[in-house]
Amino acid sequence: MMGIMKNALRERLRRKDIYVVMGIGLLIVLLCMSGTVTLSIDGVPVTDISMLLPFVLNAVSVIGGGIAVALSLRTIPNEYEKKTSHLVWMRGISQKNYHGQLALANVISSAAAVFVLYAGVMIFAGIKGETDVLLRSIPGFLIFVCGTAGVSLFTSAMSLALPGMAAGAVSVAVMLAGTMQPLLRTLSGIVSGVSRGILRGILILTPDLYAAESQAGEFLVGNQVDIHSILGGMLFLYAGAMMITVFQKKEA
Amino acid sequence: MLKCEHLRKVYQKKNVVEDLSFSVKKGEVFALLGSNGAGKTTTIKMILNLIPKDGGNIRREKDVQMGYSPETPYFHPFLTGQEVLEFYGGLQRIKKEELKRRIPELLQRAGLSKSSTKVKHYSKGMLQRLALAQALLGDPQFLILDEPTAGLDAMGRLEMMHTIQALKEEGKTILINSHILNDIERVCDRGIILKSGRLIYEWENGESEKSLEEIFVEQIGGTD
Repeated sequence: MMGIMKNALRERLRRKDIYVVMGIGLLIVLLCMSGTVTLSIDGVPVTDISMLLPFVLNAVSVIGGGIAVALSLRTIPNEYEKKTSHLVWMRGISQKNYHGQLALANVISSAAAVFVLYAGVMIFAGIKGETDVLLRSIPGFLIFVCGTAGVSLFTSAMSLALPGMAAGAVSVAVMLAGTMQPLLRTLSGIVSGVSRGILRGILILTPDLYAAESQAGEFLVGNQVDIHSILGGMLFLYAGAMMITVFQKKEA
Repeated sequence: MLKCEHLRKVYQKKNVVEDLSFSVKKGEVFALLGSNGAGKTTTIKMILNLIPKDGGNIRREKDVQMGYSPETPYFHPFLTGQEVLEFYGGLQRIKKEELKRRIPELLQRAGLSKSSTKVKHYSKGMLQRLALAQALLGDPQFLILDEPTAGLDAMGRLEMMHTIQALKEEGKTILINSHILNDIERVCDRGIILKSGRLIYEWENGESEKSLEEIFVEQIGGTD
């Protein structure tokens, strides 16, 4: 019964452009972590893995979010444009089942793409002999991937509700605002007047994807995690899944 | 087998199908005829529940199974013909043992027996035949074929017509939407001509001395 998902997944994984982006992303991650590209705070170079991780994970989150939007934006509309939907609907497959399987294919392909980027962290931890970080990296990925999966589901839902460009723009905006919440919070504290109101509005309206992602970083270095932040990420996942079931097509 | 009563479909305040009534009897091959934009495909989509109707009724014989072959079939290019049939058979919840038996039969009938060829290497004619094969999964009693010979060369058209004739002889009820009037005249028993979403002529094979082409030109050119 998961044939629709399997075929959609195979189609997603045939996109060569995504592999190029993943390759570039992995290179950036490895360069950041190896010290070839020096990160610094107030002029002090950041070299310790526990200090590097938040930056690197945020970069992985932003690049991975972009890939998730690219992978998830066209899957459902393409099915309708190519009229594959006709042969599915007429066999009595419900829209919830159909869209759900397509959205699941998007989530899996996005998670796989992010895992390739995240593997950079694992490679670096392995080279540096950070066994603890390496051991925690797989469960840490499950926490980390919540945000990307949420972005993928949200994009799939938007592709059902809005025309292509608008769905892409909304998804990218939500992804960027979600992964850059600390920056937006800092900015909203600095600026005043209308700008402050707009920034606060954005902060209220967008999910805090950074919160769940940062907990993955805490988990990797052995710090205590804030379960509420992880639940917040899962809530976004749930909201995305609900939107998939609510938004329906009138015509196949 | 199928009865459509006062069907209506409105797109952007324009009546695409208007007060359309017709019925298809069991075992006959019925044609939906008309120029582009006459409302033929919209009618088929309403029958298949792919779009909602804005008025009228569609009555199907109880528990009748339908098969549908679309005008421009798209199948995942990385699948083979066999995998396509397995996929759609799975969606239809046909048992695996039944599929194992049925798929080679259907592929052979469609002339697509070389199971390792991927769909991306299929010609237009092969795609049309594969579309017909997927419509025949589950051995439906009622088939809807939307432009089954569109884009086919002379040989391909001939083969498709032979297949439709064979299906008719097996007792299948078939609704065909086609532009190619020679093909229609060869296999169809009855049909209707649509213009601007309205029924303008009811045709029965052998009823008139005029050819279908002559009737069609007379009707489409003469009524407005």
